[in-house]
Amino acid sequence: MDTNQYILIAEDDKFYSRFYNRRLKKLGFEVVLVGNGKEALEQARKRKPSLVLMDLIMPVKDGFDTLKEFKADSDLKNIPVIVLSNLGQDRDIELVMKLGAEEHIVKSDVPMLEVVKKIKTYLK
Amino acid sequence: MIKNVSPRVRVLEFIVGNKKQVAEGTTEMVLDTNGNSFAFKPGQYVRITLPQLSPDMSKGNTRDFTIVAAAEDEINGLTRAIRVAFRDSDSAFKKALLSYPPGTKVYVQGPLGVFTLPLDSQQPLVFVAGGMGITPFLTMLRFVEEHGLKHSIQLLYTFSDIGQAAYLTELKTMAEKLPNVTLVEKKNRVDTEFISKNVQFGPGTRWMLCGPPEMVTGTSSLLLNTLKVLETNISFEEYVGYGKSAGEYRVLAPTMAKFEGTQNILSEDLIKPILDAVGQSALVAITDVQGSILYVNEKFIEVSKYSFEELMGQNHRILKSGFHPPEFYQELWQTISSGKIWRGEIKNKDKEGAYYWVDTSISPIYDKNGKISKYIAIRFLITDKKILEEKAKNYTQDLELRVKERTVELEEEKQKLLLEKNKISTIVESIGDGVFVVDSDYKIIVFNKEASRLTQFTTQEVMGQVYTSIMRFMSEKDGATQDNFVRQAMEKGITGSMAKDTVLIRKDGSKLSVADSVAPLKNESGQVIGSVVVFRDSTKEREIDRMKTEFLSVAAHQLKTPLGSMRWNLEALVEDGEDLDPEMKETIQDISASNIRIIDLVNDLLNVSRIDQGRVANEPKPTSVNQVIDESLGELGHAIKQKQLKLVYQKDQQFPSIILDPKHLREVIQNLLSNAIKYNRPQGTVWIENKVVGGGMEIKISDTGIGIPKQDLTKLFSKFYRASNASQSQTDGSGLGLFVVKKYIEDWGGV
Repeated sequence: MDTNQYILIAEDDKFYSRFYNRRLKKLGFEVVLVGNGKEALEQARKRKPSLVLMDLIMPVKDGFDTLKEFKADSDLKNIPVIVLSNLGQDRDIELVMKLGAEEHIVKSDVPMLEVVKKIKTYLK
Repeated sequence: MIKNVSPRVRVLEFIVGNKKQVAEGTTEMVLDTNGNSFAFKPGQYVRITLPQLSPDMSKGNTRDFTIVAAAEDEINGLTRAIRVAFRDSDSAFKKALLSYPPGTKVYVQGPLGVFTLPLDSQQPLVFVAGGMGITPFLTMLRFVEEHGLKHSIQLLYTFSDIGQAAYLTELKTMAEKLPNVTLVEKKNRVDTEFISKNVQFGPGTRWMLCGPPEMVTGTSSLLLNTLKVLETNISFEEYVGYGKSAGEYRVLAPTMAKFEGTQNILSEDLIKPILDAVGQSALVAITDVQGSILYVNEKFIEVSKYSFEELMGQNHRILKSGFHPPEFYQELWQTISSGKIWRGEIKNKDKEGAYYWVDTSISPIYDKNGKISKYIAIRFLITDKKILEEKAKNYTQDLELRVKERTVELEEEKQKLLLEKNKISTIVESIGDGVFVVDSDYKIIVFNKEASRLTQFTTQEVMGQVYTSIMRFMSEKDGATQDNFVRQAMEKGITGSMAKDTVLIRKDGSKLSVADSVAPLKNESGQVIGSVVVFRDSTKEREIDRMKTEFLSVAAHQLKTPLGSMRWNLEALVEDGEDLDPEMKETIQDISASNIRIIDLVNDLLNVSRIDQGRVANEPKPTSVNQVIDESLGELGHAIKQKQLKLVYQKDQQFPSIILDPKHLREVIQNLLSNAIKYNRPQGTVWIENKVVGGGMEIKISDTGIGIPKQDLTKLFSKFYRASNASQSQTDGSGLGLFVVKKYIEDWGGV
């Protein structure tokens, strides 16, 4: 991974956070974890990430709003966003894609390895 | 001298012939016509003038004599001789006549008079003869006998001394011989009673009187009085033959009189036949204004058993039975005396004391001056009818009694039924749910209090109405009318229920969630005669249901997060644990596998709850079924290979596209296919067949698997159900799959 590249992860669940931290770091990725959408935007503006993993249900500012802002921001809109959520309903997925996310993955339904594969794809 | 003779009348010379005694002091003398042609009619007379006139002939020498005809006097149609009969007397004329020897010429004028036998033999005749007045009638009778005429003649012959009754014997003989001739002898006078008793007469009877003047006059006035009651216009002819005055018989100039009865009312063409006809079956009576009987017909006599003369002149009172109160008769008289017709039923008493009923109508008869002169009563015997009426009354009374008794019985039964009905009513009313019952026409016949409360309609408002016109049931989702449930129960005869999302529109327009059960109402022979619907406010239920599903959804959703992180952690362990203890490796793998199962289950739960709530997105679009099947096969191909199953796919290339949500179709097919795979035996077969059948399409997926035990079939499509043998086959399945399948298929309108 490019030293300047890092993955910005917005996730409020403790266990998912810790997992991302352990696993992705182990795989050699630099990871910055934030707990809500507001922090995600601040961080992104501070230092542009190369990929964003976004949860949808978060306090303060949820994934939908954050995503919208990301894609509205000229600086940030080109950053790929993978929505990693447990909302599996079609209309949620539709909305997410409409808002501009590159991918939507239902966390519990997908093996970890597939997520890693996806991440690697977007970091190339 | 010949006097009082019309100049046209000829005077003929006749020759005195033989004489003989025909009765005590009565002589019959033959007079030869002496070659003169002389033709006379029975009853006519001749005027005889003696050849000499002696001074002791105080009345002159001319007398009138009735011609007495005898058969032997006619030879070859020519009258050879005539006869005259006369009483012997001291008169000089008679003495002279009697003294003439045969051969003496006398002068005869005639035939004179019109007192003759009428040509019409239909008209009944009554001859009233007194003394020598018999002679014209004798001739007539002889004439009748000789020529076989059909005249109906009653001869009333009066005499003071039977010895002097001329020709009596002959008359008697004649009367016996001739059926249409009747002889009635009477000593001295006749009176009304005698006449009515012995003479049959009616209107149209022709009376001919001949005899001494007092007899003729007396009888004629008698008859006038009798016949007057019948409103008779009388014209009469009387032939006064011999008059006695101052001890002498003298011949008076005949004044011809004939009696004929013509009756004003009764002889008119129409009235007479009517009354005759009426008289056949009705009692007819005519009274004067005081009620004295003037006339009765035969039927009256027959029924009252009184005779004509017993009734004549009597007041009608004699028939009173005592049944009717005085007011009855008063009212009757008032009515008729005021000119109105009275109609009613009267109970009378006959001569023998027996009672009879008559249906009576009495009308007044007016005279020429417009005053009531008589009353005519027409009565019909209704005794039989009255008897029947009495019987009928008795029967009716008896019947009434029995009806009363029966009514009491029925009342009691009715009370019992009412009690039963009340019991049932009470039960129905006290049921905490709304109950309404419709008949076979879907009209409401029972509607309890709770139903009223729920629908906001009163029982009166709904009774007898078709239920759909009052209560509107519709789907909560789309507002479509949903009231088929009653029809289903009625037509199929099975219990059922409303669709789950049914709402009822109440009177005020508000919606009420309802749930119900419907059952058909059957009579003894098993015919469906109506339907019972028991329904309740299901708002709470639905709310609870929603909450449950909501909770389920939320819970499932909440579970996904920890499960998700568990999954990845476990997967990480598996990946990193290559060098671990094989036992530990296996442990971690098992945990990981279990975790995946839980996630699947949670997904199923979520799916189910979404479907339950109708929250599943439905995006119908033209879908190629074949394509979906192919795709599903693609995804499950690996599983098929693993179990070494043989796949037989009968693809209908022409299978048309169906418009439905492809995702749903895929779910159904995948579900069924995966079941076919899961429960199949190793190296078994899976068949897939699709074809167009009837108006729809059939997709068949079958397998050689363990099959589904029959008893489980009905429950197969319910949530969480796994057949009893499923767990034995070491397969996993949440049991929710088929529920989903069924839901989708039902939505598509299939089975």
